[in-house]
Amino acid sequence: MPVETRETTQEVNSRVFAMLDQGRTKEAADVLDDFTRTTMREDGFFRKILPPKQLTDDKIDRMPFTDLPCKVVDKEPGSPAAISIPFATMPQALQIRGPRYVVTLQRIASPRWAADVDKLRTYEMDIRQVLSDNAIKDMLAEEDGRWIEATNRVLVGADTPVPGSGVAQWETMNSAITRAGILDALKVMNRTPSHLETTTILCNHVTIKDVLKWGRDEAGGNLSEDMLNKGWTSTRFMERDWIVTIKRNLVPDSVFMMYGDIKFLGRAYTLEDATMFIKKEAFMVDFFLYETLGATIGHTGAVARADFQQ
Amino acid sequence: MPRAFNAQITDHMLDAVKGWPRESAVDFEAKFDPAIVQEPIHEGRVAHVNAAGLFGIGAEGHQMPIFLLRASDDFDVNNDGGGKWESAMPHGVASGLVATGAYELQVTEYADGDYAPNDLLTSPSEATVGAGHEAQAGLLYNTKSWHGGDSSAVAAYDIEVCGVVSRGVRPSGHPGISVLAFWPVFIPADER
Repeated sequence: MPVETRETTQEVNSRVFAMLDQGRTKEAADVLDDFTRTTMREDGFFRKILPPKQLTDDKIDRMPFTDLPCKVVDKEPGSPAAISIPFATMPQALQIRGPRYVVTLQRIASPRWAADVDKLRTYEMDIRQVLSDNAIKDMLAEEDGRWIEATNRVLVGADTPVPGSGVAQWETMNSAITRAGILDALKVMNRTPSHLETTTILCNHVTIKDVLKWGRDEAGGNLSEDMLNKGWTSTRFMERDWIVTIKRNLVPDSVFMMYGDIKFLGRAYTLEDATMFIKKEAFMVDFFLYETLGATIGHTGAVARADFQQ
Repeated sequence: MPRAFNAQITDHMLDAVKGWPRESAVDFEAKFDPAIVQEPIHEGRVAHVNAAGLFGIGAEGHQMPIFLLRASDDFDVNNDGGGKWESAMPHGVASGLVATGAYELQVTEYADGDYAPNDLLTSPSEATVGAGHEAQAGLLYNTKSWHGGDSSAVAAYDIEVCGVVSRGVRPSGHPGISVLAFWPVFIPADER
C-alpha cells in the first residue's frame, strides 16, 4: 500500500467529505472501493492461495432448477494406466469422460456501520481507512475462515484417510519444524494417488519463528544470518510460496496447511468484488461492504496438512 | 444433496407480498440443525432457532417462528460435492423472515385443506408429526390434521400460533401451484 503523507491524507479526506456533503455518495463509495479492494487483496490469505477470477454475465452458467448463478468447471479427466500388450492386440476402448464440479456463489456482507459525519472529521488518519477498516477485517475473516473450514472438511481429521484418495492427507508429524521435518511434510500430498506437489504453504506467525531458529547447519550460512538479522522476509522458500498469517484462530501453531497448484486446487470467482454501499441522511452516514463470491476445492488431492511437534 | 434436475424454482416458494425487502424488515440467518430428518428443507417452511443457534423445523411452545427464504439445497446455501469437491462458499447458512416483522407472506408450504381469512395457523415440529412423517413438519396448518393430530381447529394459547390467514389459498401465477397468503403473528402457547 502506498505510504501517504499527512498532506495527501488530508486531501483524500477533504475529497471524501466534499463528496458526502454534496450528496455524491456513489463517487465517495467508488473512492472507498479502490482502497478496499487493494487492501483485501493484500491482507487475506484465501485470495493469495486461490485468487478469484472475475465472473462476467456472459460466463455465468445456468441450471433449470434455480435462478442462482453458478459456474461449472471441468476437472482434468483421469485415465487408466497404459498396459503392455502383445503384438497384433488392440488396446482397450474407453470413452473420455471429464468430471466437473460446480462453483456456487454467496454474498458476504460486513455489518452495517453508522457514524456521525462530523465525528468522522476529527480523524487525522485516512478516512477511507476509518470507514472501511472494520468492514475489511470482517470480510477477510469470513473469506479466510470459510476457506480453512473447507480445507479441514476435505481432510476429514488427523491421520484419517480421505475418501477420495484413500490415504491420510492430514498427518501428525513425528518431528518439530526442522528442515527434515518440513521435507517429510511435503511428502504428504505426494503420497496421494494424484501425486500432486505442494506449491503453497500457509502457517501462522508463531510457527514461522521455528523456521527462523534454523542455524547454519540447516539453513546455510547467509540465509541463517539474514533470518536472524531481518526476520522472515521471504514469500518464496524451498521452491514454494509461503504465506504467513496472524490468524492463529484459523491456522494453529506448528501447523502447515499445504495446497497444490491452482490449476488442480479449484476455482474462485467474484461476481461482484468488494463494494461499499454508503448512504448519507442529514449528518448520519451508514455504510457496509459486500461482495458476491464463490470458491470450490475441485480436487481434494490438492490439499494437505501437517501438524508438527511443538 | 444437490437439487433434482427437473425441480423448478416455483415448486416451493415464499413471497413477501407486502413489507419486505425493507430496511425495517427482520430477517435472520443460521445453519440448519443436522438432526433435521426432512431433506431437502424447502423454501417457505416454518423454522425456529434452537438452543444451539441452528434452524429447527416448525415452531412450538414459545419458539419464534421464522419463515424460510432459502432452502437447504439452494445454491447460495449449499454446494455439496459428496466428497468429490468441497465448497468454501457457500457453507450452509440459510435465512428466513421472523414472524414479528411487518409483512404479509404467501407460501407453497401449507397442508391441504380449506383456509378462510382470520384462521389461525400453526406449524408442528418433526417430533410432533412422528417418525416417518417428517415431511409434514414445518408446513402451515389451520387444523391439527398432521399425523397423530386430533384435527381440531388451531386455537390461540392452546398451541403456538405463527400466522393468521389473510387472502387464503390462491393461484401463485405459476401453473398448478397455489399459495397460502397470511400475516405472520407470534402467539405462544399458554405454558403456565
